[in-house]
Amino acid sequence: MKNNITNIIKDLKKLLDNYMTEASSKEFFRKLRDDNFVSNNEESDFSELDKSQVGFEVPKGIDHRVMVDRMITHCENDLTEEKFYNLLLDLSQLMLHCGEVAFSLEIVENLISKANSDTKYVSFVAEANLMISKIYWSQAIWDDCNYYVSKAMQLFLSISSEPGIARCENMLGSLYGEKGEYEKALQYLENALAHLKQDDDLASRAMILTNLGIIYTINGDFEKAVWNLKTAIEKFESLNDTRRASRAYHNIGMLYTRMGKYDEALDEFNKCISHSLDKHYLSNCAIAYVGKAYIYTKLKNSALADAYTDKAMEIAYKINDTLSIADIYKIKGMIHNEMGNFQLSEEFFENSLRLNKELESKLNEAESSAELGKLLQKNNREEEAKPYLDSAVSYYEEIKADDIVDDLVEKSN
Amino acid sequence: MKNSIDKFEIELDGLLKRYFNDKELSWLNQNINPPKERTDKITGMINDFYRNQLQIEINNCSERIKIDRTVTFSEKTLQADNFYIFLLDLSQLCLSRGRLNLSNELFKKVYRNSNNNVRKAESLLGLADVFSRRADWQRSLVKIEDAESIYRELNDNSGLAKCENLLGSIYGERGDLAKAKAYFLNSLALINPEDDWEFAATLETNLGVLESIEENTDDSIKHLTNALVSYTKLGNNRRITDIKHNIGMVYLESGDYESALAVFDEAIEIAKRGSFISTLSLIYLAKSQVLVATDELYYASEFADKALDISNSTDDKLTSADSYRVKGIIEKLRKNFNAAETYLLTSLRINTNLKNEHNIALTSIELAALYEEKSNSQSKESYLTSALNYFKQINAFKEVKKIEDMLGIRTT
Repeated sequence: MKNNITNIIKDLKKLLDNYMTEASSKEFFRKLRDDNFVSNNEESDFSELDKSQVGFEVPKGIDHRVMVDRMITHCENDLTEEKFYNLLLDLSQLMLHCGEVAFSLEIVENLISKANSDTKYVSFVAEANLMISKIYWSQAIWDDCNYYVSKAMQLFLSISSEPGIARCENMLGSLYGEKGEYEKALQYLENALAHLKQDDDLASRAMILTNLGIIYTINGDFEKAVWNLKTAIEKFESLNDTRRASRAYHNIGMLYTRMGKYDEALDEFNKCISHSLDKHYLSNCAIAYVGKAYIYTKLKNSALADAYTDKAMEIAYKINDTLSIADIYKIKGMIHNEMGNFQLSEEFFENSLRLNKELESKLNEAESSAELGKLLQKNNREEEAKPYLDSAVSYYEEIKADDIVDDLVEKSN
Repeated sequence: MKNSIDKFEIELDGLLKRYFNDKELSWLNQNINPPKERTDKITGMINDFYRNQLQIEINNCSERIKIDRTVTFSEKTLQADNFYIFLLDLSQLCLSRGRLNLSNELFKKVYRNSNNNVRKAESLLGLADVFSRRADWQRSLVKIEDAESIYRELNDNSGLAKCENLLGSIYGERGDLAKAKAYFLNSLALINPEDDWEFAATLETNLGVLESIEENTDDSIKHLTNALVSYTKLGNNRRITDIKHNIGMVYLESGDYESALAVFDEAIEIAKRGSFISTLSLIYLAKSQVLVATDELYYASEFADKALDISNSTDDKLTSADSYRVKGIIEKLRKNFNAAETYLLTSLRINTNLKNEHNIALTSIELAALYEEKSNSQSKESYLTSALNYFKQINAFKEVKKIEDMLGIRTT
């Protein structure tokens, strides 16, 4: 493996040599080669739980693929078209959660190509489009997410499917939430709820409540956040939907983190991880690992924080979760800041900031800007720090996160 | 690991219970599980030479960190246009190493942020290449069209030639050989091979592959050898492995297994050294086919599994479908007819989704051979007839003859 990485570095160096002075390129690659990102942490200090979580062996896609491929081939002949299409949707969903993003997409595209020509299967095509939008959402590819959710919406509207429309509105709420446009997100989520009848579609209602819980967490409206997330978990549990219940545990973890209740947050992240590891829900694992890593940086446990970011990175890279990758860079920046490696810390914050800008994720951009600003300030580079801190403050003011604004302003005074 | 796979199977089982009754489920489980899958490990029984050939790790997140840091550093250091030129090179590098997601991300960054139309067109063409490697033909064609319209405005023949070449590759992959050839020749007409001999070599390679499919062995070898000379002069190892793979395929098709194996082994060596994993999966699969032909089924299976493992991780659907075909052939030869049938039907299903006429026909022949063994003459004839139509259409006389023999048709 070392050989593979050495190859990449060699290629990168050759490339960069064509664009800048040899000295500049040489110095950069010296740093790149010297920095070791594979955790050399002394695991003996870790608890058994942490050891088992960071020691999790990420399954290879092929473990799932062959089995599911053979299953699809068999079922195509054995099931009615309707049942077969439902199965494809379920399998696509399962593969997405197991981190097999490309395969998940392949399955659902297969469904569309089969069902597209028959008007009686419009609802399946609509569901498939919604699924594709979710696949792109999971990779922070917003344009494609938006394109497919719009397609799904049109199809659901054409058959007047209120639950379908509700789920599209929910997806749009989720999309704007990730981009940090919370007013828009709230509007879509409230619309989504309005399309549902009181007693039907428990799963959709629970999903919408989860998303509302996330937005309330960010806005600092903790009471509403707790109610929404706990109600969502009750519903998921009554449906035996472990996958989504685990995700909601993660969200409660994020809520406690935001409230500064780190022990409670760790409990929730652990619940999410223990349910998800067992069933290979890699996307849940990645975000919960990031959540734990963040808390360990706050608790000044750099070794554990580093081990969790490494594991999170391994998963996020596999599932192409770019938003988590940007978050991981932010936490790595915090870790190296704590360890006094200021130059490396700065570089990680810059990576995080660049990716978040590209992903148009305003909240995450503000978080990275704030961390970079604070680092520069700490190193007496006030002038360089100012634009980063200002841009972060301006965003937090916009979303009325007064506690964060106060904290940042206090630090800059 | 095994334990966690079992848990995944339990969950999958739970899902299937919603669709099948107990009897159907038990039948299904028997048919999708045996022989026990072992797709990602190299077994203890394999010899050291093969073990070494197969030992390659596919994904490592450290490379993402290094690439991200390089991009951030270059963005700060290089002047804007120079940065985008660099980014295009870097995207191509990622593409050649099978890192399609990263490549896609970087090409998109150039397209969105560069103000230079040439860079925009190049990034569009790059995106088209990414989509075509994922066999997403429709999106690839749209991007090529967008790139073409920019190149046309700029009167950039070299850019247009690249578009025509990619179009040729797409139609070639889908088995429409006449269209593919027309695009390659258009492309050739748009450049001066003396000025752009690297690109001319690419076209020679593509024409060589087409000639091989059309069973013109000598012409194929001539084109491929010309291309090999150019790439050797340029020291382009990635392309050298591509050509060696193609030359090996020509030997394989003509039944010269010894030469094929020698070329594939050389290609594996170079591809491993350079971590050209996309090409590596093709070569592993090709080597597997030689090992099938020489009746070394155990090793053939190891190589087919590794090809499937890599193609799955690089989202190379065509190679995945082809790996299933080879796995089907292996199981057929082992007399595991149920497993063989599932693999072949899986290959057929994926190729049908990808609209890959050539591979559909190849898989159909294998299915027919399987049904012959199972004395199911109706299915055999149906698959052979559809394959026959395709091979007649592309004038592949050797394949036509083979099918006619299987059908018991006497030709003069």
